[in-house]
Amino acid sequence: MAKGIETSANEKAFIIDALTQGVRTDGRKLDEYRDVKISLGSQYGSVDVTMGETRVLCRISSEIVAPYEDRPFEGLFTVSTEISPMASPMFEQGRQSDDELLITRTVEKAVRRSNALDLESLCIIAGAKCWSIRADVHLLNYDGGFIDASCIAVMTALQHYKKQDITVSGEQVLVHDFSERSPVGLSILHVPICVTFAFFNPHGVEQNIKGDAKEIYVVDPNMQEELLKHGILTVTINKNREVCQVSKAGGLPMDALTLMECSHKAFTIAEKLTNDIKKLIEEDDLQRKGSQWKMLSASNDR
Amino acid sequence: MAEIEPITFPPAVLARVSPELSLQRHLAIGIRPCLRTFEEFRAVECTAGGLSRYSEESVKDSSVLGSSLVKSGNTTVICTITGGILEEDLPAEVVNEDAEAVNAIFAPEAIEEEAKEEFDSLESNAAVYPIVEVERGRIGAPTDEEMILGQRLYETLLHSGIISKESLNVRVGLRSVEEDGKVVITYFDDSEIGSELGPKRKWQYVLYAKVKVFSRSGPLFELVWYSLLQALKNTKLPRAYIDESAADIKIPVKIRGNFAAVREQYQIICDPLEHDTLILNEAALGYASNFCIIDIDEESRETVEPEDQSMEVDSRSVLLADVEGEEEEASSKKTMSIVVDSKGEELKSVTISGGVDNDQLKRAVELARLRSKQLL
Amino acid sequence: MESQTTVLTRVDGSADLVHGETRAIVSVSGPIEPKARQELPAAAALEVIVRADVGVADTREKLLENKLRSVLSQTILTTSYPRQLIQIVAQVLESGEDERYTCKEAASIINGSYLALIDAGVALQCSFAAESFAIAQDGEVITNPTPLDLRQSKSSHVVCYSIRDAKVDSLLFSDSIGSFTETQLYSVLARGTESVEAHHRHFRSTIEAKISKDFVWKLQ
Repeated sequence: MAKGIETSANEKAFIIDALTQGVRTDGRKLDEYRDVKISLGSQYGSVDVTMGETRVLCRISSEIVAPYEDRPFEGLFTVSTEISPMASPMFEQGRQSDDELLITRTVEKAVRRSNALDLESLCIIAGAKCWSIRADVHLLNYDGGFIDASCIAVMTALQHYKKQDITVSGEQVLVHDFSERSPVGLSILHVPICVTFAFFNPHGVEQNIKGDAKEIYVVDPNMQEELLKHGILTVTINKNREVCQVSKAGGLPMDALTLMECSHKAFTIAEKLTNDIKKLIEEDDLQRKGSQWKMLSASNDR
Repeated sequence: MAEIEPITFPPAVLARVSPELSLQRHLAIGIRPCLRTFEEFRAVECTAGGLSRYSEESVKDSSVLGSSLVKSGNTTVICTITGGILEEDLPAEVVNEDAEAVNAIFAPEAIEEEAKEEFDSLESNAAVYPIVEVERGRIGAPTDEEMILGQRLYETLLHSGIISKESLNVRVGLRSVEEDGKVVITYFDDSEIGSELGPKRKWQYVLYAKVKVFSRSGPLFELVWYSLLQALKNTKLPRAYIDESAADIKIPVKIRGNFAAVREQYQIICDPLEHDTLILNEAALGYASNFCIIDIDEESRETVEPEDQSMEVDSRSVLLADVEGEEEEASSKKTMSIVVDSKGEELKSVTISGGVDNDQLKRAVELARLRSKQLL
Repeated sequence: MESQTTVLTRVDGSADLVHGETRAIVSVSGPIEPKARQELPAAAALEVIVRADVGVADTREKLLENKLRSVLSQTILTTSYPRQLIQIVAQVLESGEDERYTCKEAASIINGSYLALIDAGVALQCSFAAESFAIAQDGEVITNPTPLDLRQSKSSHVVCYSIRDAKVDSLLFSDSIGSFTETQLYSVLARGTESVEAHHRHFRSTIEAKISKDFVWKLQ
């Protein structure tokens, strides 16, 4: 197997020609998002997200630490997205390429900077103790859309995660085991969802600069489309129609009105996904509660 | 037609050109390339190194708390121990009387259960944080070998129970100024009064070890482990006291109209002269030995001239103790590294790689035992 | 134990393995083109990467990499692929043990690597399998200990054997840490042969399932 994935000139021409006719190689419509399969693990905060061939896993963990000195009222939240050669041999171990860096930064901006997780609620004793929440994103299989999938995975995992309950006693903190007291969830302020668009110009980039060519854009590009794209745009939006982040790093210049159009499309997708995630979490919660009730009734019988 | 003359090399050249062949030819006549016999260890020389601040009569101005200098063959290992003091996060019930009461209300059963179930065999063990540096003529990020050595030292120390957490507790004193302006430092050693006077806080020493290796010749773990233990043996911990004038400060913080009292800050100061010896669990002290097994090929055995047969090499594979040199290290596909405690009763760590059979393992453990006793 | 192969598409071989509380996914790419500094003239270079489930990789993972490498360098027929690279990435998904122990993870990534290498079609000298053990305070040997067993144990062990004709052939790797006697070490090694053979039988069924899936066009 070749290390990098290269597309031949023929293949490239074919894919772009197909796009001009509104057909994508994987049979989707131009503005069709891939089916997102989310499965929740047995542990709190463990989520497996599959989008087409792309597979991302997220684990949330927490511990009690001292807060930053200049932010005594806030907890800590870190997102780690390191890409290993497991996702595809084209990623090198230990060396971050520009693309990888962009993925990491965009996910971080989308989730952390948009204040999706209420950091102040993580504070236990101001200036002395706070929760540190850590999201480890493991990228297992690469077929485009790492940003979108990572964002969904982190946001689902954060909503699913429950940390141990605590009691503050003087300056000390008592951590209650899951068996002692039911665990508490994190306070999530909103659910940002990333939607990525790839832009193509069938007549070459120069034509676009002249301003008379029409670019094509596709939602949620797969790996092949990502490799051939002329430009890329990631819109992070939540259910409240608030744009949290727009990232368009170079590439094809685009019509300002297209941005509006893309944002609209992103909103519809984000709304559906947010509702799907919410439903999934609720179902899981109910199931867990159900098993808990069963345990209780068993002890009552005695 | 030219006749093909066999080429001969001096041993040192052959060793570089074809390490495998050189080793095979040596072993076939019953000797190792380093001229040791099969089960002979290198002599190990060890001194305290003299780097520690307590190494001489008067206390030196140095942050090193213990040191060792180990020489074996061509290799020299220097190990220095430094340290710091960290506040321990105590469970709430130790500090606050009401904590237990609070807990009891919420989960009375859980407390009892916990006491029964939660036994942690590593709970009372402590370790040091080692950094290993193998000099290779240039600087840069640590190599894999250095990281692996560091982690192995840490794990072996933690699991062997040589240092107990208790021995790293800081028994703090209190510095106060008397009415006549004299500064007095009181240490409450064993007296019960002290615990009531002293703060309800606990501090612990954290020890760091820096191990430097010069002129590496063969696997290093055993030497590095030895040097670490030797350095720990002469490690002395400075006494520390709380400066009374600096204790009990509450720093008010004001951000966005909110107030919060930052917890009391104590200033812990190390005594320049007073010090304690670090107590090690002598019974758990164990020394490491490494072995490799080399299969002698048929061809090499046949080349041996009868007069060279100084020693009976009857078995097809031989056990070599204390691997040294490129030839032995490169050809050794079967290796063992064994840590035995000084009494020779318990093993602390055994790593075997390659198809070692039970007889060979038995012999290696026996030799490791002798070696551990000898090194004590 | 549950195992599954070909779980990822971008690599040549992969396996997902659940053993007790521990879960790991291992991928193998190879033979592929190596970087210039990795290239060996007469054999394949091995790049072994172990990644933790939580937190960034540190020296603990380096030591695990070293253990896995010592097994793989004995079993992969590296001489069949001169000047090539075989890349093995082991991602621990659930460590199933305290971070002070590594035996369960070590056994799982060794077993996962075996299945992933078979899945990738990389030439092997022999089959292999591993198992983790703990010795309790009373001297009892516990196979595949739970996290609680480990916390209360005197020592922890991982044992890996090579297998020929479904029978244990020779010891490939063994790592023990803690306090234990020589006799206990031998009994762990002996216990290892039984469970390793059992694991191998399980792997055979996993591989059988893989082959019947791969050759579905031929079988029907």
